[in-house]
Amino acid sequence: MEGGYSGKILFIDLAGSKTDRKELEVRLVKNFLGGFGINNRLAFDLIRPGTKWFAPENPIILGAGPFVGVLPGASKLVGTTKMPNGFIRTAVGGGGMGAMLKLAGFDHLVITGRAKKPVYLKIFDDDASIHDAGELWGKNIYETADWLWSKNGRECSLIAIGQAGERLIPISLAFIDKQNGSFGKGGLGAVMGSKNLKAIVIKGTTGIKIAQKKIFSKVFDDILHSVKTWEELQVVREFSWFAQEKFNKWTKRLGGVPSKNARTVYPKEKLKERFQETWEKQVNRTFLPCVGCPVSCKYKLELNEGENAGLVAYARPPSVMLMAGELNLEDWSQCLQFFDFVNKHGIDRHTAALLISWAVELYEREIINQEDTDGLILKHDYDTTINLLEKILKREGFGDILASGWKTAIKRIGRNSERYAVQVKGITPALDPRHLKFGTAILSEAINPGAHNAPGSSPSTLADSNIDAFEAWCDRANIPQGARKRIFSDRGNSLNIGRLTKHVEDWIHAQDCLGICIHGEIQRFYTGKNMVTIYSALTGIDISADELLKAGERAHNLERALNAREGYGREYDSVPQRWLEPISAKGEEFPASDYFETKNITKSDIDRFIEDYYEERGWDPRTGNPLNAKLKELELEFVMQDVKNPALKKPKHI
Amino acid sequence: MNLSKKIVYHPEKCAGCLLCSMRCSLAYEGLVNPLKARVTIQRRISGPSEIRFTDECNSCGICTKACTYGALVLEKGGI
Repeated sequence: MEGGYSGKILFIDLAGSKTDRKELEVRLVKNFLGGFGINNRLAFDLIRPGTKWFAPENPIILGAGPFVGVLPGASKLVGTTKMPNGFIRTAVGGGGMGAMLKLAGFDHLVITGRAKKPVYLKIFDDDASIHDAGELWGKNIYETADWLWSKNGRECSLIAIGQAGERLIPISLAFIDKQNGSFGKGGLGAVMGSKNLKAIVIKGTTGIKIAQKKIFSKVFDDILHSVKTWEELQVVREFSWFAQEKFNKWTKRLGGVPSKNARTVYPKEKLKERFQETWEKQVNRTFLPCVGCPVSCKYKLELNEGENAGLVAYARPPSVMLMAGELNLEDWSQCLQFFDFVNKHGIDRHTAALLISWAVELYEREIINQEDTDGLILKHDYDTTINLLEKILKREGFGDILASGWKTAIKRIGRNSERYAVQVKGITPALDPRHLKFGTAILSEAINPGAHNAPGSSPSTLADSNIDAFEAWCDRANIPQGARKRIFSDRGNSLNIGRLTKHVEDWIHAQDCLGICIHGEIQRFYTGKNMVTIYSALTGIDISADELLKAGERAHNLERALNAREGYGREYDSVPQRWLEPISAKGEEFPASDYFETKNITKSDIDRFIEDYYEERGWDPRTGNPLNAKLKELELEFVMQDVKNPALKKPKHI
Repeated sequence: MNLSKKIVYHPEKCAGCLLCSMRCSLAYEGLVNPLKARVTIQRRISGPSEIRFTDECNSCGICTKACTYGALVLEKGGI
């Protein structure tokens, strides 16, 4: 490779304090591109079937694709491991860590083993060393980041866990660069904690080579010119999710956003009064873009009035709206206190929020009572939220049940509590088909082991786009004409979500391999066509738009095969029962709807979406796993045997 | 030093994305390396924003074209 890639993989064994470096093989690059693709290929060799998430041999595989650190909007670090939900899955995070890893000379970092005592890992260019973290253990993520920067210089990038990860709480995650990117939905924080690994700090000074500087510089400038002249840039930056148009889209169908364990709605009038109309007065906002991001979707938010004036929290605007709604929070002060608590301690806010709401519903239904909750009266309000969060973090009493994550909490409570749990494969889905209608991101959440909740700018997540928007997306992503015929006319539907989802995922995974952010604000500047030009100019390797999509498809199939080898398959692809029940809003009942709101969605419709999806993917409708013909087409013959005869019996269904 | 142009910079507007350093190093080092650029940035996430120029900076303005936050602006008319 003449550029784009740094060319090496760093292996670190925390138990033996050993390091090893291997060349990044061209063969690996050509088949799997980088990031998500190569991570999965490494995982296939490194994660033995049946490995427990907390086992020392469970590797944490970090990767940064060829676009990371060299292009606008390409900062994504991907992390693959056996997660506490039992699946091998990949988390994606922003910030500056991916760029720094590459600047230090590595495309991937593989961490195995368990240190005898708390440590942090320091990588300064080729020099990798393990350091005592006794002083940091017990500190939150803000304190840890500030301490590491004070010792190692502000130009370093870092990943750190909080007390939740240290205490092996399965709903914990890590953060990149203090709060520049959350990293590890599914429990990566706990996996780090199980290794006694408090943090990783990296500084790289080597530089990333470019194969054809002139062509590359032009596309770099062209993308930035497009960003600067994008008419919506300022709207997006000025808290776009509270801007009128997007706010109206998110509140249109239900007249609000889901609330109280997704049973009812937090009305838009209240959102307007408490949040939209007060943010300019009550909250100071500062952009916090990832490295290389010309748009910025993240903010440091500081409360500037009231008894909590000066409180700082980090959040994306849509998360503020959804969390306020779900937890029935009253104002900015309550909302920012919630974000402050979960973020600095390293708790997955979304999963925690739905676990808390679930507990409140169980309490209201008298499935649990004060004897179960250590005397607490549970309500959908701020006090209950903070009380339970504190108990979760301490793993204390009822808090320990929730802290153990969906699978164990359902088992420990029993009493048919699973019926009210809004979870898929032990992870809380971020979207709801009764709220935003049944689009591709929602189907992905039902099928994949903790899917992206961002859509890769497919128009189908934010409802109300017309059919032309889908055609335009297919043009941009270079979706083959044959597939378009199946997407747009098969079975007489105007749009076949099952078939479309396959192609959206392949597109997203191509970005995950390259390292491009999949938020719509960045995606709009990348097309199949310009990505081909960029890849060739950057790396010196020619590739076609079809091959890019094929690499995304290959990476996705390999992830499925990794989990097939663990015994997973068709019966794990499901939706929460709650999605099959109507949500109460505006005095009416709203069942899940198809994308164009022409009909209500039933269980059999969802089964059909899944069947269509499998068929489009070339997967066995019976097992839900890739057929040999597909594996052969993708040159993944080496996984055939494991897919056909999984090494393990089926894990317990959750 | 380019006497006909100057770069006006506003640390309070700098979001810390490093695109200016990336583009500068691409132009003058032939590779992307923010730490080797003629304009270096301390990211806001780790403390106060800082913008510094090395002695080699000739005010070519390529960094200003990469800035989408209004922190770097090329002005004509001498230093």
